[in-house]
Formats: sequence, structure tokens, C-alpha cells
Amino acid sequence: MHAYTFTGQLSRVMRSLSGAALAVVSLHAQSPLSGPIAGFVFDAGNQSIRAVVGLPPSAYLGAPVLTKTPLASVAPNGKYAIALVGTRPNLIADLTAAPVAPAELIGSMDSPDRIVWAADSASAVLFSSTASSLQFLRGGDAMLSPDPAIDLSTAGTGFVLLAADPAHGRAAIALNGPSTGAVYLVEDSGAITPLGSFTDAVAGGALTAGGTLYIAGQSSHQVWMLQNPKSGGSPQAVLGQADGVNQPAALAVDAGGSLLYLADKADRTIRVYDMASWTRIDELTLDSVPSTLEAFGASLFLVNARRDASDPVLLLKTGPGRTVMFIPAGE
Amino acid sequence: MLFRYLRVLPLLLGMGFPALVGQNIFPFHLTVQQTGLNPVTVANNSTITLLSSAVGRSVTVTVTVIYVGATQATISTDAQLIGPTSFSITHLTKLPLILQPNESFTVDLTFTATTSGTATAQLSIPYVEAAAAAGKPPTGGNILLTFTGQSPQFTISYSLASNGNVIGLTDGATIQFQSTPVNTSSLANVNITNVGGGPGVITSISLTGAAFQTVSLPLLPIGVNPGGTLQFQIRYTPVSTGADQGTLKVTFADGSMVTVNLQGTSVTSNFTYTLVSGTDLIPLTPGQTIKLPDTKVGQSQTFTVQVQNTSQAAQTITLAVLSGTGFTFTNPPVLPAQLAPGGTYSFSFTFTPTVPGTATATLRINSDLFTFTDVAIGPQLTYTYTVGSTVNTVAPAGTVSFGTVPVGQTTTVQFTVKNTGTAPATVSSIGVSGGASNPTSNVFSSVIPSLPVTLDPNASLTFSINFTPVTTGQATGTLVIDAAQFTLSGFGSNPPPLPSFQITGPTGTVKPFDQVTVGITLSQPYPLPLKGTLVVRASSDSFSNDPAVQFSTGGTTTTFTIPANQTQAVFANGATQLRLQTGTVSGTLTIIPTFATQAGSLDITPANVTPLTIVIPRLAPVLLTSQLGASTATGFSIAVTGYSTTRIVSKLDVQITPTAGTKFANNTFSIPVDQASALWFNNGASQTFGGQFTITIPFTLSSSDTAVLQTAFLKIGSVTVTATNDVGTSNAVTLALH
Repeated sequence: MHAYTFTGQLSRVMRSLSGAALAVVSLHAQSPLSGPIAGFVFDAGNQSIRAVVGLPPSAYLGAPVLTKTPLASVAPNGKYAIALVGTRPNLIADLTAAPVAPAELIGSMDSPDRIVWAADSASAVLFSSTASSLQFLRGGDAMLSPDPAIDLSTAGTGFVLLAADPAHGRAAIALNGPSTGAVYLVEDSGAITPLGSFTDAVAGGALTAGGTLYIAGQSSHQVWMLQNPKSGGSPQAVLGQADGVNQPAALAVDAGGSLLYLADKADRTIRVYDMASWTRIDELTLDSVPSTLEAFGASLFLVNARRDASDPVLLLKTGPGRTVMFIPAGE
Repeated sequence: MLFRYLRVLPLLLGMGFPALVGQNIFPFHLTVQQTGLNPVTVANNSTITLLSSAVGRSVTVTVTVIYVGATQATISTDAQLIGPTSFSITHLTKLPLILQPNESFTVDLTFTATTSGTATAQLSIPYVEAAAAAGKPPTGGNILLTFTGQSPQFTISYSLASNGNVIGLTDGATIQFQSTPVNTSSLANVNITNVGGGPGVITSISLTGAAFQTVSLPLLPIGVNPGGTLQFQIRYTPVSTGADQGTLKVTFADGSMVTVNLQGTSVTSNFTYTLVSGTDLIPLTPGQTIKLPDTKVGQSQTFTVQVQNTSQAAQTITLAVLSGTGFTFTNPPVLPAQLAPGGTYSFSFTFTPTVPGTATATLRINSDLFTFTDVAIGPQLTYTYTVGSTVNTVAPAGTVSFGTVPVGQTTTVQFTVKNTGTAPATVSSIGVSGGASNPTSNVFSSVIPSLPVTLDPNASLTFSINFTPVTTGQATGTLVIDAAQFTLSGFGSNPPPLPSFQITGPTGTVKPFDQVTVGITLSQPYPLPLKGTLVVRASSDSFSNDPAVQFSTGGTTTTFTIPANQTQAVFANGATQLRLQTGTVSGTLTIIPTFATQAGSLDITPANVTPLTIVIPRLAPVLLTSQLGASTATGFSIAVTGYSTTRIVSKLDVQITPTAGTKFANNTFSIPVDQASALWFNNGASQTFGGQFTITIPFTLSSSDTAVLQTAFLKIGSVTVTATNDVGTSNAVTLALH
């Protein structure tokens, strides 16, 4: 979170018994001031990256810091972003800079259509369904270096990216038919491993740090679990229609690895499941249709890609006081 | 009773009294009674009308004279009657006649009509009445009554339609009809006129003879006033050649009867006729109906009639008349035309129909009558439209009226195009446009059937035209069906008023820094689809409003719709509820809706709308987060974020908690920040954040002992901060460091 300070004369001195003096010193009298900024989000409707002014649930989208970008993704730490400038991925190392300074990621693929950050914002994945290509970006501390792009066409064309764990160099992709779905594991080594076929197109997935893959069916009202996918184990159905699964749009596992969040686009809800007992423990109604569950800070998930002018940004707040907050787009 | 045989006409008082009587009162009561009727009281000097039923018939009345005086009256001389001989009276046989009070005598008077005119006679009876007082002279006078006799008299006459001459008829006379071709008709007009002085009655009129029929005969019996005439016709229609006979009987009220003979003769023509139609020769018989070959509308066919004299003598065609729409003589015949025995004469006529259907014409040559029929072939489109159960016919350039329809509602008429012609018609294009009052809105609309459509004779094409006014007032449009154009006209009236509604959501005091839910519910369904806006207006208690006060759809104005016949508003997110951020600045939030019809955007917002008002209270500051900022060997900073709805922070209280085993001589600080707060919250940049703020507190570590300084930061376990404003002190936030 970016911090701003008061102006004024704040001057107090204390002395510790240990001999060190701890002082609250005078602040810069002429420092620029602002209030809290909750972060930045990619506004797909406006093709821009915009600041979130204030803290939810009393925030709104501010002026764009970058415009004319068809795709961008802000890192969970809120500091970095990867944005397309034209067709080229660029890294913005400091979103608070004015103006921001996009730097092309030399060696990255052209025109990716998905960008997924690692939870620690130190790595990312670029994915292009049209080019059947996937690329890991590694680095951290505002530096990213692209691995060679992995050509997925050897396994097929028309893949969708289900989930990615760039920190561990793996991603899950799927090749959907009208009523079937074939899931593959892609590793940074370039290996593409079939994980299994499903009798339903798959709509979303979540890949945990431990390597467990969760997959949701588009219309079968089911969620499967693949533990240790490379071991060749069979998918295990962990949630079904009786658990409220309707039309999943996205899955996410919380940072603690104990709760599964399922965004349901038909019911406009987020259902929360205890992964130990696979029981539904909460259901949160949404203002609009969810489309994603992407990390937005340590305990927040971005729920939708804002497409319509009247759409707010929806944030799922996990942890105590779990709720979904909206961020209006301003006037 | 049709006749009043007795009619009394009183004279003016005193006019008939002699001077001798002076002012004395007439001492008699007079009644006049016709046989079989009730007596009628009459005054002296009255005129009584006597009506005879016919000339030669008599009517008798009895005059009763009652003495009503107090003394006695003496009649010394006989009753006298002055008048024509058609009147007579009975005479008084015992004279003098002395009448005591209430005694009476009678005189019978008879009127026998000898002519149809009016006759008058006067009855006079002198009298003397004794005086009531002794020594007074008697008084005298005359009983005077005037009688007028009247009677009806009927005359009968007739005239033939062929010449119009009026010929009188008496009993036994004959009506001679003109020679009439078989199966044709001749008419005689019969007049029955009352030439008498009184009204008469015709009780019956009857006819015999199969070839004769009465025409226009009224219901009988019927009265005829003097000078009046009853008219009717007798039609002679022979069905075969030869003579026909019959009778006409007229009966009057007195039982008298007039019988008139009817005579007619049917004739055969002296001519033979042939119709030339193309190459066909068709013999014609007088009285015949001939069907001509069909003719297309707009085209013509010409036919020739050949007349040949088949008699042994020369014959003359004096009359040739053609009547019928679309029929004309091609070359009018030149008449008279004399034909020698065996001679022929030809003329032509043309049929040029302008409308489809069966056309009829009659051709009369002398007394020979022919009827022609021809079917005109062609399409004929007629147009009707149905509103409810009412069918209206409309001609091209006419108006299809939709009546008055409330704005937003729809009235549908069924428009029908029917081919009433005799040939198929093709409808190639139909177009509906309009809404002159609002050209951008298609208030007239129609689902046009697939075209072109061929309509056989009697087939029809029906389609719907909708009128949905979008605003009040007159609206006109156009319906075009090929070359035919119609005006569409309707009137938009005010839509029904909006029912009461409720803005659902929190009321009163609500939490700041929250997202609440609002909605709109009508008390009852509204028949039209509605749209509207919901506006939130913030009124801050402090320097500025909080821009974070927004609906989830963005901004302070959001739109909604209410489907027809439903009650709940549906917002842009597709839900019946919408969330609103309450912001972080104290004050009031006023939420107020507007309503309009979806069609036409007619504002139907009630004049006085009660808004939903939410109060954001003045609260002590609320601290949300504390974060460690930059840290070095000689210092660190923490950033505390929170909000103050009063947009004031007066001081911060900081407590340093050392790690275990470490002690600080003074580990609490109270930092006044009122000036800094004022500078911040009065600065325009702060308005972007409402009551939110982030305070960065830098700490500097200093010591003369370098070793102590290097470990000093590590001795700080946590930092706890509270903030205070004009209302109170906030919650505490603690940043754990070591």
C-alpha cells in the first residue's frame, strides 16, 4: 500500500533507557499529500490501468495511469504490472510513478491473451490461445526475464489457460470440445503432460503451491481434484450439484490452502468450501457476473474483468469478515 | 270512430238575443242527440254540424229543450226551420205549450244529403217566460240553433303510365291497359278523390285477375278528407299472349261500392331480334335476359342488335332506349325507322366497364324489352379496418382512426385488403410509417406479411397495425398499399399516474465506510414499462462531499427499468437491488428517483417525492491499517491509515512496546496533529479521499553509543497508535515489529 503523510510540525523526542533516542521528527513541510491508494487494476472496458482511490468499501477507480493497452495485469503486490503496448508485453516497474514508464519485455511473446502473476509478484506467465504458446517470466523486484516460449501446438490448438503457478514453473491448460475437456500440465522445462480427459468442457482451475490442481466443469456441476498430477492419478470429484455447483467461471484457493472459492456466473455468487470437509461454508452474492478470481493483494481476489461501463470492479475479501466489495468506476 | 257527425260551434254570448230580452238569462237547457250517441249540451245560438256518410244518406238529431227557469215558459207558435229542403223537422202538435220548471219538449231534425256540398238551416222556437215578481211584465225570446249538413263524395280516375291522361271511372267502367308484351309490365295510376264537403272512408280495395296486381296500396280502411286523394297503382303483367281481365272493387264506409273492370292485352312483337356478339348470332326474345360475354375492366365490347320486321305490313321503330351503367349506343339509332315487311335495321351498343362485377342494362325497342347482363372482369380492392368488433370501411386517401390511447399502451387494428373484383389482384408492397409528432419514434408499426400476395376474387389479406403513442397529443402516420395511401391517426392521452412507491434500503443513521443496498418497489404493478433514474446527493457536514459516495454502477446517478405490470425496479446490473457506498464523510445522503415511460420518455414522476435520507454520523476516527515504512539503522516510519467522518484529526497517541527484556523510560507519545489535519483536510487534494487519510510517522533513532544505536530498532516489539478528533478517540492499531 502506498503511503502519504501529513504536512505540519510533528516534533516529539523520547529517550530510551538503553541510551538510544527515539524521535518523531519534523516532516517535510512541502511534501505532496494524498490519501490512501488501495492499488491498481486493469480496466478492460477502458483498456487502461487505473488507480483505486481510497480503501474499499469506500473507494473508486481513479484516473488511468496507462491507457490504450488491450491487456494488462497488475501484480498482487500492487506495484508492478505487465501491459501490452501495441502487441508487445511491457513491464511497468512502478505504478506510482508519474508518468509510468513501460519497458518492453525483450524476448516475450507477441499478443498474449492471458497474464498470470505468481502470488509473490516475482514471476508471471504469458499465454496466447491463438498462438498456442505459453511463456514463463522470472525475476522479481521489478525485474522480469522471459523464458523461451513453449509451443503448445505440438499437443493441439485452441487451448485455454486454466491455472498457473509461475513461482513453481507450471501451468494447467485445457483443450475443450463441446462436451469434453482434455487437461495438460505445462512445465517450464517445456514438458507438456496430459493429465486426463473429462466428460465436460472445463471452465476454470486453481493450481496450489503444493501442485494440486482443481478443475471445474462448464456444465456438469462438478469440481475435480488432481493431487500430484504428474503421478498419473485419476481426477477425484470433490464437489457436485448437491454442493451448489452450477456454472463455474473460476476457482481459487486461499493463501492458507484451506478454502476453495468458486465463482458461479449463472447464480452470480461466490461459494466458499472448506477443503478439509468439502462443505459449503459461505455464499456471497455479486453485483455482476464473475469472470475470474485473480489475486489482488494478500487477502483479496479480483472477481471480474470490468467490461461494461456500469460494471464495478468486484473484490473478494477473504479472511475474517469475508465479503465482496465493489469499486465503482467513478462518474 | 272516424267521423264526428255532430259538431257544435258556440256563438258569442248575447249575439242571438233580441233587444227585448235585455240582460235576462236564457231559461232553457238545450241538448242535441244523434241516434245511438250520447246527448250533447249546446248553448243557444250554437251551430251544429251534421255529417252524412254519403249523398242521399240521412242523419237525424233530437233537440231537447228543458225549462230551467223559476216561473213558467210558454211556447205559443210552432218551431220554424229556415233552410233548404234537405233539412226537415217534426212540428209541435199541442200549442200553446206551457212549461213548468224542469219540464221539456223535443224537436227532431233530419238532414238528408242531396249534394256533396254543405247545407245550412236554422231552427227557431219563440217563447215567453212569466216574471218572478208580481206586477212585472213577462220576458220573451227565441230558441235558436243553426245546423250545417255535410257529406263526402268520392270520384275515381286513372291514368296510364304510357300517356298520363286522367280518365274518370264510374261503377262498371273499364280500365283499358295498353298492349303489353308478354313478361313485361304496364302501370295504371288510380286516384280516389273525396270531392265532398265532409271526410269519407274507403274501407276496402280488392282486385281480381291473375295478370293484375296492386302496387303501393296503403293499409285499409283509410280516411280521406275533403279534397284528399288516395293513390295507388295497378300493374298489368301478362305472362302469355291474349286478353286478360280483372276487376277493381272499392268499398266506402256507407257500404257503397264501385266496381271497375280491368282489361289488358298481351301482344307479340312484329319484330324478330338477333344479337351479334363477335361471330355468334343469338336470337333474342322480348322480355328475355341475355348474358353477354365477360368484359375486362377498362376494355370494351361492342354488340349489334339486328331488328327484322316479320309482319306483313310496314312497321316503324319509334323508340329505342338503352339504360345501364357502362352501356352506350355505339351509334345512336336514327328514329323513327320504318321497316318494310322483311326489312331489317341494325344498331350497336358498347359495354365499357370501369368497375368489376355484374352490370345490367335494359334495351327497349318500341314495346319490346330486353335485359342484358355482363360480368366485368377485373380486380377491385376494398379496404376495411377493425377496431375491437367494429368494422370500418376506408377508401384510399381516407383515414384509419385508432382513437385515443394512453401513452405507452398499444391499440391494434386489423387492416384487411379484400379483392371484391372478379379477377386476381396482386398486393406488392405495404408500408407503415409515422408518428409525425415524434419522427424518431415509430408510433405506428406493423408486421408486414410476406409480399407479393395474390388475392383471388373474394380473397383477403389481413395484417395488424399498432399504435403506441410515445407522447400526448395527435399522432399521424401513413399506410401505403401499392398506390393506395391512407392516413393513420391516433391521439395519445396521458398514461395512468404512477402508484405510490417505496425506496428500500437503510434509513436513519448508517455506518460510514460501508456498502448498503437500495431498491425501488411500486405499491402495485404499473401497466407500462418504465425507466428512471436514482440519484444520490451528498450533503457534507464538513468541507466537501466524499466522491466515494457512488452506486456500484458508478457515479451518483444510476438508471433502472420497471417492466410492465411489475413492481420492482431492475438496475443496470440486472438485479432488483443496487449497492451504494456510504463514504467516509459525515452528513446526509439523499436518494431520490425519477420515473418516465420507456416509450416516449414521458415524465410521470409524482410532484412530491419523499426521498430516502441516510445520515452518516460524526464519529471518532477509525484506524484501519498500520504498515511499516522505510527502516534504516537510524530510523523507521510507520503509516497509519484510517478515516475521520468529521475530517478532523487532532492528535495521535503512540505507544512503543519494547521487546522482552528491554525497557524504555518513556514509551508513550501524544502528538498533536490538529494543524497538520487542518492543512490536509482543507487542501483540495484531500477531497479525493473524503474522510480517509494516511499518516506516516517517522521515527529517528539516535545514540552516542553506536552499538546501542545499531540494535535499538530491534528492541521495538510493536507500535500501537490511536487517533483523536472532536468527537472522540479511535480504535487502536498495532504494528508488530519484532
